[in-house]
Order: sequence, then C-alpha cells, then structure tokens
Amino acid sequence: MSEEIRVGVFVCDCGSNIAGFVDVPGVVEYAKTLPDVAFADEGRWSCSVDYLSKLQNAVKEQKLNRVVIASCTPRTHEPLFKNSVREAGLNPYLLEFVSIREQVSWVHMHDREAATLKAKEMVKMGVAKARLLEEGHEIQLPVGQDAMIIGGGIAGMNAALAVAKQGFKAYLVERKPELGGLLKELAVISGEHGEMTAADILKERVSQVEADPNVTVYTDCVIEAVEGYIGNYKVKLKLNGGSDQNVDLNISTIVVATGMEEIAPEGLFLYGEDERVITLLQLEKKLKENAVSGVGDTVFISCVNSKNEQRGCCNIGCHVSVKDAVALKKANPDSKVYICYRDMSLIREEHFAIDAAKQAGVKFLRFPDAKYPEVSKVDGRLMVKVQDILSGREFELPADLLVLATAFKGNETVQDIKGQLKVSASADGFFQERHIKLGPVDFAADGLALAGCAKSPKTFKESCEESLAAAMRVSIPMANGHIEAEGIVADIDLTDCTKCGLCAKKCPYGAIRVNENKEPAVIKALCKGCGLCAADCPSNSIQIVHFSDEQILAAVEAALEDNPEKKILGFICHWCAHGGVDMAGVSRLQYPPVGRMIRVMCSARVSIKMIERAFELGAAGVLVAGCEFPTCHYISGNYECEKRINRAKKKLAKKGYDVDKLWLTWCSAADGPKYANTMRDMAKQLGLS
Amino acid sequence: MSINTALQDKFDKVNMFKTCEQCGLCSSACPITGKSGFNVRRILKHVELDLESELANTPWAWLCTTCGRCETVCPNGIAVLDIMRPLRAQTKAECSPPPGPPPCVRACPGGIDIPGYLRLVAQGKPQEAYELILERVCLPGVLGRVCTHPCESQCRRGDVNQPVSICALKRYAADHAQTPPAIKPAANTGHKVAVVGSGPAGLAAAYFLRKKGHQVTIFEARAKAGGMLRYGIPAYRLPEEALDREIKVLLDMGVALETGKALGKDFDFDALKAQGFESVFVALGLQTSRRIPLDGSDHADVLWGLDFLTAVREGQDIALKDKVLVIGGGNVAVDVALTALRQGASQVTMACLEKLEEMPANSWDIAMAQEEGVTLLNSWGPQKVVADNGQLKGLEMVRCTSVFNDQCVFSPEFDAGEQNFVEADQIILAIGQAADLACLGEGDACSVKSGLIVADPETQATSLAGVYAGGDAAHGPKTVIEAIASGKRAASAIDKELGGDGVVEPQAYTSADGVEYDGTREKGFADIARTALPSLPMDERRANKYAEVELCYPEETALREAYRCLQCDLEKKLVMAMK
Repeated sequence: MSEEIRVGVFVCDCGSNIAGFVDVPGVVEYAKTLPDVAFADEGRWSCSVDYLSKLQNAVKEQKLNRVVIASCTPRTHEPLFKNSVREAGLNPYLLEFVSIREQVSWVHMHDREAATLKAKEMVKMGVAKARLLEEGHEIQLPVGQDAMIIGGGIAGMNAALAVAKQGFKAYLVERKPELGGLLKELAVISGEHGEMTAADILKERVSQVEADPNVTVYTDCVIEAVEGYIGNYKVKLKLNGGSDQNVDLNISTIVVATGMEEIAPEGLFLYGEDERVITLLQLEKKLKENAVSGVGDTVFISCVNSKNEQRGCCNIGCHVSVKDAVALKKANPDSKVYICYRDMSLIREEHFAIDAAKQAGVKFLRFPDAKYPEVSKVDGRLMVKVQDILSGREFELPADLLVLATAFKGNETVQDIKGQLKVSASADGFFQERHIKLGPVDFAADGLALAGCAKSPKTFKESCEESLAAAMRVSIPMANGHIEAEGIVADIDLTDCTKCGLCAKKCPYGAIRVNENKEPAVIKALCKGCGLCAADCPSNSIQIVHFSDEQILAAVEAALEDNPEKKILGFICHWCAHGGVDMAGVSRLQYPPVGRMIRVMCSARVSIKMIERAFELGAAGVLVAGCEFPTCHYISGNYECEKRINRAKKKLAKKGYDVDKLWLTWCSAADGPKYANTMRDMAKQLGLS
Repeated sequence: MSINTALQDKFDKVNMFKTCEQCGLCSSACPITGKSGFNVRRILKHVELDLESELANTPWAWLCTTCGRCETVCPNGIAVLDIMRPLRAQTKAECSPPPGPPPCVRACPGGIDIPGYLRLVAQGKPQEAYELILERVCLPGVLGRVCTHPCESQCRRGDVNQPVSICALKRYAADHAQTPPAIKPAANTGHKVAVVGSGPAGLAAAYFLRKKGHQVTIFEARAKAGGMLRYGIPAYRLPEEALDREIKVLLDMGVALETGKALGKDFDFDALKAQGFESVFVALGLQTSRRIPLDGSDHADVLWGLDFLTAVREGQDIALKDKVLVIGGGNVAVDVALTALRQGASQVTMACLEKLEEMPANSWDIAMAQEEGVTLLNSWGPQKVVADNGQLKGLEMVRCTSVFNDQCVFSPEFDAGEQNFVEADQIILAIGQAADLACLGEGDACSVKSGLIVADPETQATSLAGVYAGGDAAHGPKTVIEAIASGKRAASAIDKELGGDGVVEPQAYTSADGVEYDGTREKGFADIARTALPSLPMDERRANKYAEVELCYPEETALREAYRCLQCDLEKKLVMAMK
C-alpha cells in the first residue's frame, strides 16, 4: 500500500468514566501531534449511535484509512467499532483499539496527571501500530449438510434428531452395542411434571432415532481417525468393536456428546473394601432393578472427591441423593435414611425434593467442610460418625448401606477424541467450551459443538437442552452452506524459510501442513491466529494478520520512547489476562500507572525478540500475562509461552540483562486482584512506586 | 433417638417445621440466641431429627421469651412458638422454671401479681388493677413512685429489649383508680393489736391485721403518719397528697391512729398490755443519721443527711449557703444533694468512697442528680473538715482505692499519697442511718444486735413474747417494699398467735384464670420499646421546687407499655394444658 496514511483518533469520555480522571481534550490535542494523524476527536459516548455516525462521516470526509479508538475495552466493544468502520467503507482490520478506561481511568483514579500521560502514550502506541496495519479478510469455506454426533446417550440422540429434522444427515456414533449411554443405568428421571422411568424415555427416544431416515446409527464402533476442518472432515470408523469392517465418512460438522463416568472413590469410606459401600450410580442401578427391598438403614455422604482443590461441585449429586433417599425410604418405610451433606445444592424445582424427603422421613445432617464423616465397622455393621453443624452435635449412625455421591470425570474415550479433534479438555477429562458465556456449546474450532455430560456433569434436563443448542450451532453453517472465519491467521513467506518444519510440528490445530518439498502452508480454515508459530519461527518467515512483528514492535518502541526506565512493558493475552486487566478496572482496583500493555491473541505470540527489544530500549521491566493453567484458549499456548520465557531468560542473561525484570503471570479472566497485585508487586520490586 | 409419638402428634399440627431450611433468620432475629446455649434454629433442627427427648433434658425451651420475633421473620411461616410450647411441656422438672408465679413476681418481696395487674392496665381497667395490687401490698401509689423495683431486673421482657415499666404502671393504676377502694375487713375478732411506728412496715402490718378483723391502733411519735415516707423521702419524689390518699385507705378500714405518742416516753409495753393490746408490732425505723468521727465535724456548717431531710420536710426554714458538699453515695445522699439545690445551694458536689458503678444509690436517681447539675466526685474518702477563723473552708479528702474486700465486706482502703481539697461553705454527711432504740426501755426489753432489733426472719417475732418487730429497725436500711413485706409477715404471725389462720393474702395467683389466651403474638410485638417516664421540665423544677419530678404515663402510653408484658403466667398455663 503506497497510499498516504491518514489516521483518525477517536478518544472517548465515556461520560465521566474516562473524562473524570483523564484530561481527554489534552489527549486529543496530543494525538493530533502524532505522525500521520489526520484527525482526532473527543466523543462523549463514542459507542452511541449518534457518535458512531459522526465517526463514519469523519472516516469518509477526512479520507481516513486507519482508525484508533481509545475507549473502554476491545473485549466488549471491538466488534461494534469494527462494524462501524466497515460500514464506513474501511476494512475492519485497519482499526486499532486502545483501552483507556479499564487500563487507565478506572485504575488510576487518584492521579490525573499520570493517568493522562498513560492515556496519551497508549494512544501513541495505538497510532504506531495502526500506521502499519494492513487489510485483513474473513475466509469463506463451503460447508456441506452432514454431521457426525459422537455418543449415543440422551444428548447425542437428541442432537442427531434435531440435526436430522432440519433435513441434514446425522451420523450417530456409539461405541457400545446399544444406544442409551448413562440413561441405561438410571432408574427414574424426575422433573417438574412428575417422574418417568429412564427405560420408558430411552425406549421412546431410540425408536425415534431408528425411525428417522436422516439418522444413520453406528453402534459398537470405534473412531479410528478424524482429519480436516469444518466442511471437510474425513472420519474413519471401525465397526463391530474395532474389527476389520471400516466405514469412511465425509462430514462437515461434529457434535461431541461422549458423556461421563464416576470417579471410583477407591480407598475412601471403605469403598472397595466392603460391598455395602456403593456409589450413587450403583444405587441407581439397584433401584432400576428393584433390588432395594430389605435394604436397612442407609447413609448417604455427599461431595465425595468433589468441592475440593481439584474440582468443584459435581452439580447432580445432591438432587440424585435426595431423590434416591426418598425412593429407599418409600421402599423400606421402617429403615432410617440419612443424608450427610456439606451444602445442599439444589436449583429451581429440585428444591421441592427436600420437602418431599423431609415428609418421607429422610434426615439431613450437615457436616463441616473440613470434617467429613468417618466410617468404620462395628461388630460387622457399618458405623458412620458424623458431626452435624446445624444441631451442633455428633451422631453415630449404624448403616446397612452407605452411598457415596462421588465426583465425575469425562468418558474414557476423551483422550482419543481430544487428539483427533484437536480440542482441549480439563484434567478430569471434560471438554472445554469456547467461552463460558459467549460460546457455551462451541469448541474453539468452528464446526465443532459439544453437549451434555461431555462438558461437565449435567442433569437429564440440562443435557436435553444443551443437545438442542449444540445441534443448532452445527446446523447454522450447514444451513448457510459456508462459514466465514476470522481473518486473524498466520501467513507464511517462504522466501527465507529454512523448511525446518517447526511450525507444522508446533501448531496445536494442525493448521500447518508441509508438502513433499517440506514447504509449509497454512490451512486458513484451521488456523486460529494464536501466533505460536510466528513467535517460534527461526527465520521470522511467519506473520500474523493484525499482530505482525512489525506492528507489535512499533507499539513497543512507541511505549518506550520516553522515560523507558520508569515503565513496565506488558504483553497480555486477549482471552484471560486481558479479562483480568478489565476486571481490575471494573473493580476499580488502583495500581501504579507504570504499565504499558500490548494486546496479543495468545501469550504464545510473544517472541523472544519482542522481549529483548523492550530491554534494549531500557524498559524497567517486562510482563507477559497469559491464561491460567491448565486452560488455554489455544489448547497449549500458555505452556509453550512458559517454555519460551525460560529460554528467553537464559538468552537475556547471556546478554547481560537482569532476568528478574522479566515477569510472567497466569491470570484468569475473573482475577482482577491478581493482575492489580502483579502490577503493584512489580512496581515495588522494580523500584517504580 | 427415640420418637416421642405423643409429642410428634402435637408437632404434626404444626407440620410446617419440616419446611425449615435452617436459614438462620430466626436465630438472627432472636434476642436470646447465643445466651446460655440457646439457639432457636438449632432447636428446630433437633425437632426435625426427632431429638425432642434430648431437648427435654435442656433448659432451652423455657429460655425462650416467646416474644415471637422468630415467627415474624421466618420466610416459610413456621409457627416456632407452637413448636416451643410442646417442648416446654415435656421439659424435665429440673430444667424447667420453679413452680409458681413468673420471675417478676418471685423477685417482688411483696409478691404482687404483676402480670395480673399489667393485664388489667392494658385492658384499660386501672381500678381493678389497683385492687389486685392491694390484695398483696398496701400503698401502691407510694410503691409506684419510690420502689427500687427488683421485679424489673428479672422481667423476661428485658431479654427481648427492655423490661416492662412495672413500677410506673403501678403508679398509673393507683393514680387512675377512680374511687378509693373500700376494703372490707373481716368480722371483728375482738383482738387488739398495737403497731408502734407508722412507716411502711407499720402501715403494712396494720393493713393486713385490720383486714383479718383485728382492732389495730397505730402509735406514731411524730405529728403525722408515714415515717420515713413523709419525713425522709423528699416531696419532689413522693408528694404528701399521694401518701395521705393511701394512708386514708387504712383509716377508712378502721385502723386507729394516735399521733404524737412516742414509745418509751408516752407509753411502754406494759402500758399497752394494760390497755388490752395482746400483741405489739414495733417498726421504729432508722430515724437518725449515722455519725462517724471526722476531724472538724463539730463545726456548725457541718450537717447530717437524714436530720437535714427531716428538718426540710418538717418545714423548718433551712437556707443553705452557696457551695454545698454532700458526702455519701447512697439514695439518702442523692436525696440530700437534690434537696440542697432546692434549699438555695448554688453549687452542689457529691463525694463518696465508691466508684460510679459501685454507688449504692439507684442508677436512675444518680442520673437525675447529674441532670440537675450535681457534680460527682467518686473514690474519695473524707479526712478533715477545714475551717479558718470559724469560717468553713472545705474538706480534705484522700483517694479511696477500694471499698470492699475480697469477701465483699465493707472495708475501705486509701492511698494516703493522693489527696484532694474541695472548697465548701457547708458539708452534709449522709453516710447512713441508725435506729434510736433507747425507747425500748431497759431490762426485759427485746434483744438488740448491732443497733438493730433481733427479729425472726419468718415471723418477725422478737425475744419478747407478743412483741414483733419489722422494718429498717429490724432488718437494717432496706427498701419500702421490704418494709411492707416484713409488716405483712408480722401480720400473718400475729394473726396466727391470736387464733387466726395467718392467711393475710390470697394463697394462689388466680388472675390468669378464665383469661382467654392462645399465644398469638401480634406482628411487631417484640419490637415495641419501653417508653420512658415523662418528667417535669428543668425550668419548672426550679420554679416549683418540691413539685413532683417524675410524672405519670398518659393513658395511651400506659396501655401500650402494659401490653408489652410477655404474660409469662399465661404462657405457663398454656404449657400446663399440654402436659
């Protein structure tokens, strides 16, 4: 692009949110002095319809070809401004967003001068990057009309039916010989409209699945391999329990509904030693088989292996315990049934179960978090010693049956599927959604959705709801016939490429393939734009659209032009660390105004070169902030980042830099205090406050 | 964990407790949760777990005040009190309150039916309330003004917010009773009893003996009846009319009063016997100021507390000088200080051995003294009265480090190193009272110990046959209600001696009989606060020196205050019916 660069800077007051603590007119006047800035303006509420049209007019009238927005946070408002400039006829990738509310006015409320200086410099960094921005383009990929649903439980069957009812083909893949999943092991499903036996529900749903001409069911089958991306998945199935009969499927989208299983509480409460100690699912099975008559006194213990440092609430244990306790009490009215619980976690209509249980005579004892009941054998009988904090006393309960509401983990197939689909899963083998609110049934990769207990333990009702949601998510691109993928992707320039193959090896999505000449190429549909390849490429042959080395380094240089010894240069990942930064702002956590943050999509984008450049320019310190382990929006970017930072430290030390000035922090999107504390600690240790 | 099925049946009527979510709003609202192990939420949990039989071994159910605040806040509308009452019914005797009347009545030396008269006041029946009080004591209007009301410190309402203003409501009943009650004595027994002294003890003995039909004559040394009520307690506290009105009740019953007749001077026990009196009740009171040896206290400007008060009540013209220092920390000292202000002193200071919180005077009276401008000097002991050329200059004092020893016996200790001089034109020593027992005569007179007449604590009988003694001269300086109680005990013993049954008051408390009560607590009941008694504005006190300072509740306030009573007697009846 040889045209004249004309940058427009729009600084927002956000009412008094920014203008109350920052001299906005001063920032605007300063912006006008920056190179290539053709226009700068102050907006009272920049996101208002009125101001957006004013902005669009300015783009047109001033012939602006770069836009810098200095306002709230890109995490909430970037799409809005991108869309506005697009409507004004500008490529949306030519917009740069500077966060002077969450990163300035809300966190430096008591130092107007320093806040104004920081805002000016952040605008300067934004302009420096914006001058180098290049057009980007969303990628259009054709999508066919066939989906694979992995898992034949209630979520999988529902999803398959929902896909099929829209006229799409649904391939329902189940590893067991029969459909049903977890539902086959359950006795009764209760809900607002009364109870139904699981067997009746199952029978009805299986017959619907089998009767639907658009649904093809493969049971007793193993997924051998999955390759490709949305619109172009190639799947190899082995039928008959992995025997020689193979099926190849070409499909466009995938729903993962692989379910879950109990974590056997081996070694706890005599489980495994005494057959009278069973899990909730084992009790369900007894109830289903009507094998509970004559069961004597029963004690339930909740939160076994859950609500601890490893994992949170199991989500279903309380409701199932209460429901099953009533069933036991009804089957044996003379026996005593106790539920020992930590917190009774029941939602909405589940709550009525408690009243029913109390009416039936089930007794509830609440034990303290730090003191679980103790189980022993006295004269051959189980004895449960429990402290009840509500009555303030201890009980010794003889029991003929002890039921443990234990934690759950993802299905055993998770590890294989995780690798085949290149998606991330938690330590417990539950798949991770793209975003807890903004993409609750999506995976990070397009064309993949997840539903039911594959994500986390779910009630029957929740599984049903999610399966429909997941079916809809994969149906949208199938109905459109194509998808548009974000244009922030890697771009390889083969000029200097040494064909080392590192990029292809490192890419967590398998989005870089090497051809027979060992030349790498990016499959844009698969690339998520994390930038890991670019940061590690030994020959600097890879650039990321909107986050090129040149653009980032321009921002680094702008940040450190004046008084670098008084500043901390930071790189923050868009997903978690930036969320933490924003949360610190929303919470008005005050910290020293010494940081100058540069947004990257993933901490793995930060190359050693960038860090080194900051030290070269005399930065007081450098911070790299990414997602908290074990989560990463890009599967493993933070792990890669950590490895690279360790390498960077060695390299920097050799060059004579003080490596204690290079900080690394892992911060969840909700952890504002962690970010604020990091800034305070850093400023203190580096002698800046 | 046995299930008490009978009790379970009762609970089934209030099955709502099963909806208890243990949220704890009840115990947060409960005024006594946290005290003595009581926790209303926890009690509900015990019931839910079928542990009523364990609750029966605890005092918890009876600790509940039944104020009903828990029910008001329960989001599930659980009738907590309907659960608490059956629990009370099954609580073991050793964990239940003692049989008989509620705590306020037990605390009252006169055993007045307090919930009974509060109920009548609340119903707008002051006349009936007044008559109910008169069943067990005389002089309700006097008590309603000067009683130290030990009942109120035991009142269960105090656990909820503040105790019911029991004392002031007694005065309300007395002041609002329309007609002086005509109390009919029993048929004449023909027996004659002499009462020596017309203070509260003497009046009470006369009242109860006359009720039993005996011929009673009161011999009073002074010009008017009333004893310390008239000559010790200042008029701004107890106006003469209020006292006269209640003495008249006795006279109307046929009690004979002979004033100006002093024992040992105008008559002796033999003379009484000769006049046909079969028994004598001696209630001489503590008529003189107790004196201590104090260097310089023989100065003309050093006065003695009780003598001063009496002189003022007798109408003697006593004009005080500017600066008056009162020594003493008891109720008499406070009365002296406030009277000194009314007698022209411009600056009154009180000094006493005790710390503020140790002072024996009623706290509310100390507050009144401070309100009227009396300066308090605590923890000082008098050492020497200083005069110059016959002109009183002040008092040298020494720091008192402790008043009582480990056994709580009066044994003051001083720090000679810390001294203080207080300027004064006059000093009034109000450090106690003493009885003048010379009148008892010598030889066969009844036995005396530590300056007090020895009397049997049950019967008030002295060592002299047919002679009984009561009031302060027998039990030392106590309260009006204690004096009345001693007179009542003596009346009972004398009646027995004279062949009667000794029953001078109803044996049972029956005011709760026939009262309909289902225990429903009106919303907001627990939050009604005690209403402070109105008092005379300060400028009016200055203008009209001996006008009564404390005023009576207006009707509306009195009814509301009486309604605050938790009616512990009716609550107990409700529980007894469940047994």
